[in-house]
Amino acid sequence: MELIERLEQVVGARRVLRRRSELVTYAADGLPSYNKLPSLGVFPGTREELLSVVRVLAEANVAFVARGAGTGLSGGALADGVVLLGLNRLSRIISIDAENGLAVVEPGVVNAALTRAASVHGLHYAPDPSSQAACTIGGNVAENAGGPHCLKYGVTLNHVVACTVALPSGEIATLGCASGEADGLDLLGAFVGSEGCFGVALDVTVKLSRDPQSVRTMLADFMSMDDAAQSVSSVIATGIIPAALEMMDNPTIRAVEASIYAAGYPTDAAAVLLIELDGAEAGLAEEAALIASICMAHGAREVRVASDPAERARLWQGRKKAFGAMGRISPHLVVQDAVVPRTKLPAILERIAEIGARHRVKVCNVFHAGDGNLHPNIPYDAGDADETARVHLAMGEIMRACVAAGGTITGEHGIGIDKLDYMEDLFSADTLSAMCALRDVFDPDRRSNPGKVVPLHSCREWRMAKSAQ
Amino acid sequence: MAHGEVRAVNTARVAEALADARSSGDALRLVSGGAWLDANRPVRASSRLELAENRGITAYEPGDLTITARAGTTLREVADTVGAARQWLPLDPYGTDHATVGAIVATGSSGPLATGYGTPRDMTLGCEFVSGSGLVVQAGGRVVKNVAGFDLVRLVTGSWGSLGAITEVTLRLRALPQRDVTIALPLDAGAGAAGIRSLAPLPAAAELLSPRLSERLGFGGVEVLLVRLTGSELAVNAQRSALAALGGAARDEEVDRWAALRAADDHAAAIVRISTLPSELPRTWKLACALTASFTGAWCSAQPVRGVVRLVFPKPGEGDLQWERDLAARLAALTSERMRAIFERLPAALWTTLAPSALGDGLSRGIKERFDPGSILNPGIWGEPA
Ligand SMILES: Cc1cc2nc3c(=O)[nH]c(=O)nc-3n(C[C@H](O)[C@H](O)[C@H](O)COP(=O)(O)OP(=O)(O)OC[C@H]3O[C@@H](n4cnc5c(N)ncnc54)[C@H](O)[C@@H]3O)c2cc1C
Ligand SMILES: Cc1cc2nc3c(=O)[nH]c(=O)nc-3n(C[C@H](O)[C@H](O)[C@H](O)COP(=O)(O)OP(=O)(O)OC[C@H]3O[C@@H](n4cnc5c(N)ncnc54)[C@H](O)[C@@H]3O)c2cc1C
Repeated sequence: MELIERLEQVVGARRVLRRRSELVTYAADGLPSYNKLPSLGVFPGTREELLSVVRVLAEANVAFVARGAGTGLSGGALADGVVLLGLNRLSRIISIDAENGLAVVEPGVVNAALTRAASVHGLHYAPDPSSQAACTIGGNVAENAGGPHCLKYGVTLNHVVACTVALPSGEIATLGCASGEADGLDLLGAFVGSEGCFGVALDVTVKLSRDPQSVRTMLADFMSMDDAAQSVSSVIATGIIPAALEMMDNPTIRAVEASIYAAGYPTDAAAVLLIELDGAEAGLAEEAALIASICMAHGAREVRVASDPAERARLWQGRKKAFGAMGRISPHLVVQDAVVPRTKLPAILERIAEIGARHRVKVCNVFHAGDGNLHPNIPYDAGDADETARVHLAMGEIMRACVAAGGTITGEHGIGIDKLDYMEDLFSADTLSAMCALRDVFDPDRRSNPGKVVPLHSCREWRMAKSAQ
Repeated sequence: MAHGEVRAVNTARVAEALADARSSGDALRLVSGGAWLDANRPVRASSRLELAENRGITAYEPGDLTITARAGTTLREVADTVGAARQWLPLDPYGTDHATVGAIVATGSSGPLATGYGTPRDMTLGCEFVSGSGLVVQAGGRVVKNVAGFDLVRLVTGSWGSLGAITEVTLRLRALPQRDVTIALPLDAGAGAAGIRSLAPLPAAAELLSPRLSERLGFGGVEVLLVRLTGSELAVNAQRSALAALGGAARDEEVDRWAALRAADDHAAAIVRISTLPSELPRTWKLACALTASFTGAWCSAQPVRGVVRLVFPKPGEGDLQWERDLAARLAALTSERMRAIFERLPAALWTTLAPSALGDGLSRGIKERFDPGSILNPGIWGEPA
């Protein structure tokens, strides 16, 4: 029997897409600069169907790419001529154990939906990517997603306690355990952040966190980027860990204020810091006052404290929709993601401005400043070949400057295909070989998300084995 | 069993020693401080690879709140270095501050502060290791957020030297809290566990002490909840009043109560950690107290927030042959649907009956085979067959 028929038997004919017109919907993820058509799209509706599909693909020795919501920003969910495995129908919250602060979910559950469901218990799911209204827990696990509040509460890795995985071979593996401690190797830790290359998450057990007693959200505005960056270092040095510490530069502020998400940011400011403190009410006002005074000492014009939940939501809405707002400036947008040690922030921001000016491109910075996690984005017109070339040159220089500053090439968006070229700038051949060795254990045939994360030519052993065959 | 002894003072030497072992087939017992070599399953190795002399701070920029140190650096050295900048590494594994950072990451060791600050899994940003297969790997990095490539840091953390010899680690630091207060509350497990979990924010540490441990540490032999609060003056005071509302007469204690707790089990013959859901803790605690009470000198402690109970059994008297059999029988009953027993230390003969292997699954076996194909690193530590 043909592969298509066998897949149709599992999920029903309606759930196997093969026409170009249907498949174009899945030709890109959150990064519009790449377009690749899958050979087929398969959309299982239950765990059993998903497992059967993986097994059919294993028998047929066919490669596949899991896809959650497709909001990824590194081209990770692109299926280039291989089968796309859509998981958005697996959106059931299987259980919530409020007493122990645990939830078991299917991989297609949307991040914000989980927090909504948990909120009746006074709980929430802490990792909050700005895409949380759309992205899925499966995609978050695969990317080890972060978000503004990860500064204080940690990233996805710190909130996932167990995961059942369909290995590419069709076998099931249970990684981690609900009570947390286990004997043996940390397979769960290896799986989180493996970008779909180690198999498909069938269900995920996550921790739910208690809602904080009190929250203070503040907006500090500055006349220079450097003052804002220096304030970030000084705030971190106090030992107070804000729940979030985000920075937006003037081009970003303008983009947001010109959009429907206008948050009331001052459009003449060189930069704003969005700072949130949370925790017990006791001491919070004093901490807020201390942080405000630090910002003022570094030259802030004003530090405004959100007076009610509506204002707080508005300040956050502007930040969370900033990528979208930038996307409206020009037809295309390069979204970048890199990290530097926190003391290097002022210097790297200056360097990025210099690189942008030299290549005549407009860099919009909006980022998780407290972690040193930069997003220098560039709106441009891909139809303009000269501009496109300049954008790519500038991006390459920015990335290499971050690596030279002791940083890394991605803090949360992953490597996917977008950053493959930088992997060898960052990691030694031995380190890349070790990554390949790990992948080989989970996916010896490289059928799960082929061609992503580690450049194929870096995998010495695998290359030798294949050429020997 | 060890015949040879090799000292390796840097990464190149470690790589050489591993290459020699690969070609000779002589397996290596990795040793740093050497304080905890009787933990986990017995290792079959003919030589020791001494790693403690590979020490010293490689990079420390206080403003980054991270530190990079060679693997043989001790907790004490780290504390002294970062303390000068009013920072700390909130990691207090059992034993002493002579423990090395390499071994702590290799074993994933933690102590009471895990309640508030997590374990090495949460704090290790990067590490360098030489795999049994001979790769010199720089895993992770020096920044606090990093998803570049597959996560080899998590793979090696807690792998007990079975995949590679760690040569350097980068850890996340914290600013020293304004206040650091220790309080003892005479509370039983039921009240203590529920109360402490509802405290917001959670304390830095909270340990239930069984009557015998309480006696030993000078708390008068009654069940006690020992709590550590860190933070600003105002926040700590607020937490303190919330604790007082749980009942019992709270008493302020010295911070070195924790050092005494960490050092209490120096000569234990068996240590078992039970992991359970926090809601199950009171039940599990009762069981653990009853079990330890029936062995001379044994005690238990628990971290109610994390759902961990730790049972400690000192060596029996000379010629007590029944002890081992009794212990085996009682411990065998510990793993159930509701809880998981992890054995840290056992009389050698008991491993095969209680926890023969942690490499039962194909993935773990595959990883061991790929990273240490010649089985030259701590062979036997996971109970893998010879
Ligand atoms: C506006 C915007 C803002 C964003 N902000 C943030 C942010 O603040 N922080 C952040 O970390 N990211 C952010 N992102 C990136 C993105 O949302 C995250 O990477 C998210 O985790 C992707 O989830 P997804 O469901 O869309 O996954 P997809 O894009 O569908 O897939 C991403 C990867 O996960 C794999 N995958 C998906 N499901 C599974 C599964 N069940 N099992 C195995 N592998 C799977 C895919 O194969 C692919 O490699 C943002 C994106 C946008 C568009
Ligand atoms: C009495 C006592 C009780 C303890 N109880 C607990 C406990 O209950 N829970 C807990 O989490 N920790 C516990 N510990 C562990 C402890 O705090 C540290 O993990 C340990 O002391 C490390 O110090 P070391 O340098 O002496 O390690 P060593 O004793 O030298 O080594 C410990 C283990 O790590 C391996 N190892 C050492 N260095 C490396 C390296 N560089 N690379 C790879 N592998 C390496 C060794 O092969 C060995 O298996 C205890 C320690 C003591 C002394």
